[in-house]
Amino acid sequence: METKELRAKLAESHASNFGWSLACCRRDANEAEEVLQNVYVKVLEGKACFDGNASFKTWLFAVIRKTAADQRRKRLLRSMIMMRASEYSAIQNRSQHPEHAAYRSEIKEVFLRALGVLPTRQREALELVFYHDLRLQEAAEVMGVSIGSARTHYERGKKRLRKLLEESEEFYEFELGRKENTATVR
Amino acid sequence: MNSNWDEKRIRQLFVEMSLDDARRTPDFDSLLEAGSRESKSDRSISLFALAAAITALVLIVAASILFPGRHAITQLPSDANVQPRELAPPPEEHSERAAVPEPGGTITLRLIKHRVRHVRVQRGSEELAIVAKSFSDWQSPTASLLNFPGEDLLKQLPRLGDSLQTLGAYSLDQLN
Repeated sequence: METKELRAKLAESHASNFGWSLACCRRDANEAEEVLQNVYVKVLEGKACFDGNASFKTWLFAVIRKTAADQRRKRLLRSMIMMRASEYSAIQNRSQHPEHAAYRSEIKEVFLRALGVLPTRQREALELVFYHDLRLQEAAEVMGVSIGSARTHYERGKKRLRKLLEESEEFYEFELGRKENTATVR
Repeated sequence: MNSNWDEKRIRQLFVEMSLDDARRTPDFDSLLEAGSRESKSDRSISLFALAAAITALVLIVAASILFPGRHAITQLPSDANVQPRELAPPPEEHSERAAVPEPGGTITLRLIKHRVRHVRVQRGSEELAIVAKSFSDWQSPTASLLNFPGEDLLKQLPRLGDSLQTLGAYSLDQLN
């Protein structure tokens, strides 16, 4: 694939790529931007080559996922204690972070918090299927696991997310106010 | 909450999230431009670091080749009565050849190779000889306390029929 063609493909799926990068970086926009930047450079400089075995989107998502993991590992190695502390505080203060100002409504806050609580694999499976409209087979390819394993993560993730949302009082109250029939909400 | 509702609701929440994400997506061109700029600067930094490392390595190698004797002399013990050069004479023809500089006064690769080989052989045999000698000559500080007068008589055995004068001439080794 030529550079121009690659560039066009990347530009076309840029928003989606950024969304997946956010998912891989625990919704940290700065980190996601950095990861995406590195991925684009890798792809355009030929360091990551598309072999055509999977769809371009699946392949690119796998590259983003790997790059994000590498970057996280490097950061951890660089300043293990500092990073852990800041990550912890970032997770704790996620709702107050200006980056997340867009998620003002209670429901979004609750949803984001619930997603953050989910194990990485389950969160990834849900995001790939629901956010990026990938099939389970494609999600499995991105995650580098078998389809059976991806399905398990997906099902468990769904169950757990539902449970978390139900448990959240804010969410429950919101739903109560919103829905006419409260019984179905429960 | 049934399973169908679950999926619909979760999908809806994800769609809302994706809309928010789309709003804060950085511009593709500026992101790419910044990325390539960073990559170029990273590359130049890594090239500089590589060049510096190679220069340092060359300097170290050159120093070890040009000044090989200094290290060897400092390694020798001051009280050693061994002459290392006597124990391991250097190959003279090699050293002669090596000592002749090329026309123009430049040190050729050949000369460097010879010197390196010579220094290696010399250092190896010298060190071995010193260690071997020190092992064979070693005595404990209290070794003299084990010797006592008339010690030789205990190592000898008298033979029947010999006179008392000749008894002392036979040692235990001869009888066996």
